[in-house]
Amino acid sequence: MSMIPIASTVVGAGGTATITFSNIPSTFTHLQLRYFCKDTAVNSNLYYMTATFNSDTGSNYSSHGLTADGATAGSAAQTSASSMRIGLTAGASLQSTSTFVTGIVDILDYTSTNKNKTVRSINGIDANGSGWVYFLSSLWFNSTPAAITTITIPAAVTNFAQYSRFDLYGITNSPATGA
Amino acid sequence: MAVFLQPIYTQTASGSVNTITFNNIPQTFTDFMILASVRSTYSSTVDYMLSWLNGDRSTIYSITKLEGTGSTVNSSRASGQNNFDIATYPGATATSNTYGSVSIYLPNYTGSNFKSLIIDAVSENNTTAAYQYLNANLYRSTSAITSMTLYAGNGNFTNASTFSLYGILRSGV
Repeated sequence: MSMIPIASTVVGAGGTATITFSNIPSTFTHLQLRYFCKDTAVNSNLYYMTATFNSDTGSNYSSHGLTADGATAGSAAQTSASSMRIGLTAGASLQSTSTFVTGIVDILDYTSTNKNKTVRSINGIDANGSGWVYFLSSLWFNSTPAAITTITIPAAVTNFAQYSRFDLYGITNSPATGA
Repeated sequence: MAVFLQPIYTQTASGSVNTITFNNIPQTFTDFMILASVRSTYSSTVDYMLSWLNGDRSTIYSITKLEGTGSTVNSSRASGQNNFDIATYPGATATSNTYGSVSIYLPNYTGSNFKSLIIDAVSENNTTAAYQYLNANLYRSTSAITSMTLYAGNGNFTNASTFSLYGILRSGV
């Protein structure tokens, strides 16, 4: 089996402002983050979920995305930003008590020191009468590409709510080529 | 015992080839997936990757696409093609050291039905223009899939482009 759990965080009562995966082992080839979350902010707004790598908050991220709300599709972009977009989250008024945003984030070749890190994310929520789907790409670029050792995900507004969960997996490669 | 993402083969491009082929794909899994991190030598911000199965270039491929460009959303359909469209990906003049990220999923690849693939892929760049693709593809052949070829397009795959083939086995097998 090549998809191995690395770490998991489940938010308890009282919520959590930031999710951090640190000391990520360099023994895998790719990473996948899966999450299930909501913000505790009591409003009806949509927000981007963001992330940074290796505590880098410089203007070293770009993000682009396909978005849809069940009626309208859109496209968005940001460049030279201080964090990347990995999905959307919604204020608690847009979600029922039991409704959470779900997403999957893929990071290929995360240990490479030759490649900037390209991130591919899918994310969405259906709230039984409303909903949103996001398909996002992001780039972490810096003068010297670095292996990812830390992933930091802050709550968009206040805190990640209780029962939110973030799971990080490592994916290995094969030495055989099959050429 | 069910296996999720069992590594089968991995290839790293040399920088002087415009195709990567996985041959002799084992027939012992249920589905397969390819994860690719790719950049082209083509002197442009983008190149366009294609693919075909079993060395077959007959016109029995079709595709439905959803594309984001950073400023627009597009959808299109094509049939009677002799290959799959995979995705736009970074060329030589894109943001340096930046590679596209591609996921190709083919379920029931050993079965006797037509083959349906789902592809999601992104090509990043620190400019407004960058690309996201969701493609549904059909290969109208009832043959088991034993090989898959990925074609770089106008240039070659750069020498750090990587391609990983994984097998997925359903429960109960």
